[in-house]
Amino acid sequence: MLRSKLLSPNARLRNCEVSDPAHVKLGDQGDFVDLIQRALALIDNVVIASTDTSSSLYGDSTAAAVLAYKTKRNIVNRSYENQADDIVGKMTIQSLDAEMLDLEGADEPVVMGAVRPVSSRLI
Amino acid sequence: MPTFDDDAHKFFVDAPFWSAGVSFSPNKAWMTLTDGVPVGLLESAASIGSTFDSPLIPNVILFTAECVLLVPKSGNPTFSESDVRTKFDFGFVQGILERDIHIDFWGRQKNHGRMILHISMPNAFEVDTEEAIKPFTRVRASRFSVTRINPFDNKFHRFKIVSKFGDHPMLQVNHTVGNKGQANDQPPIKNFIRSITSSRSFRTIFCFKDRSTNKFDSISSTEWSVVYDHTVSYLEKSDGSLERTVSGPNGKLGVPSGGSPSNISRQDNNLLRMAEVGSPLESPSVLSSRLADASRRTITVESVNNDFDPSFFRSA
Repeated sequence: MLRSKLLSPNARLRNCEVSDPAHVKLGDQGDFVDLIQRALALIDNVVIASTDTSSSLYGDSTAAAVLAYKTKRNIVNRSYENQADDIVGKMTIQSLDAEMLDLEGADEPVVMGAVRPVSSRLI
Repeated sequence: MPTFDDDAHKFFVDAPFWSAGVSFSPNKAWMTLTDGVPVGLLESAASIGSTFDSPLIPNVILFTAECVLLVPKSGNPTFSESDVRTKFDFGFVQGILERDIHIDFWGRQKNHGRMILHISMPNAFEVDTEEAIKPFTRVRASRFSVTRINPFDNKFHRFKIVSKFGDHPMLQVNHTVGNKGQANDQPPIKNFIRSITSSRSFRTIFCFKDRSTNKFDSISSTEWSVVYDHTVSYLEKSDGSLERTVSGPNGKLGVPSGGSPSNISRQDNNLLRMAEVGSPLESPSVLSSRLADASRRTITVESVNNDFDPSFFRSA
């Protein structure tokens, strides 16, 4: 189950984790692609071509970034392939989600407090 | 007006383990003045209540002041230690000047942005005390000792007054924040403490109060300061844990060698007037309110950190 604040609210990405037809691949377009692009940029600091990002398109640049991400982490479904592909499937969305979860910070405001010793003040 | 033996004033300052630094517990950064503060235990304590007056905090700067009070035997043939206590209250009144606090939080890479917290503080001296002991720094029972000396002096009853006080003013802040972008509408990205700038000046005044008039007078004093201008860098290990390196002013910056009557300044006398009227005081509740006061805070949020330095966050 997706848990990151960036990816988990999106229904398509949640579906991607459990349904093969919902995997995200070359030619797909929509807000779910935008979220994947943002996750890749935040996690691996990759730059995806504006032709893809401006229209939330899973184009060649996005596919290349996904392939690089999966290759770097050796995300390969050994049941039917020997090397990473450029599709965001179950393992990939789970990996992106886990890394985003690690990157995300708390929503709480910055809390400052003062500390003093008691030993010579009140006794 | 009591008189003192001018040759008997002493004022010692001891801070052998003083070292301004930043220590980290699971969720907080602690601006400490010595190594080895049990910050993990302090974080646990902070989760269930205030850490002001924590027994876990060691004193890091100790003040000892002495004077010899002279009471003429003529007209006061039986003046005793308890008479001194009845007529006078000796101890330390401490002034504090809090300057603005500035903390930078950076993401681990340029496109994780940064957040800059600026807290406006009074930038003026106030009396540093607590409700239970105001305006002094200690409860009366342990504020000073009185010992008769030279009982065979023909002219004066002589009483040695000794007062001691220890301090360790610390601040704590959460060491990561969630950067939600300039419009505060993005999923948060963790930003880590990059730098802390804070400066506080103190005047620690050995003084007495005439209990019949509530008038304070200074005897001797010293000035000290707590300066943070520290930066933090991170090394992420293969197991995901972080190794932090803190750099900043070290040594005994701001620690005085002692104090004396000649150090009494106009500011000290102003502080004693504040002590008399009980205002303005910086009590724990006043300080806590200031640190949390939204109107004192400016938080600048940047989605991209154009000042990013790759040495800030490295992976092993």
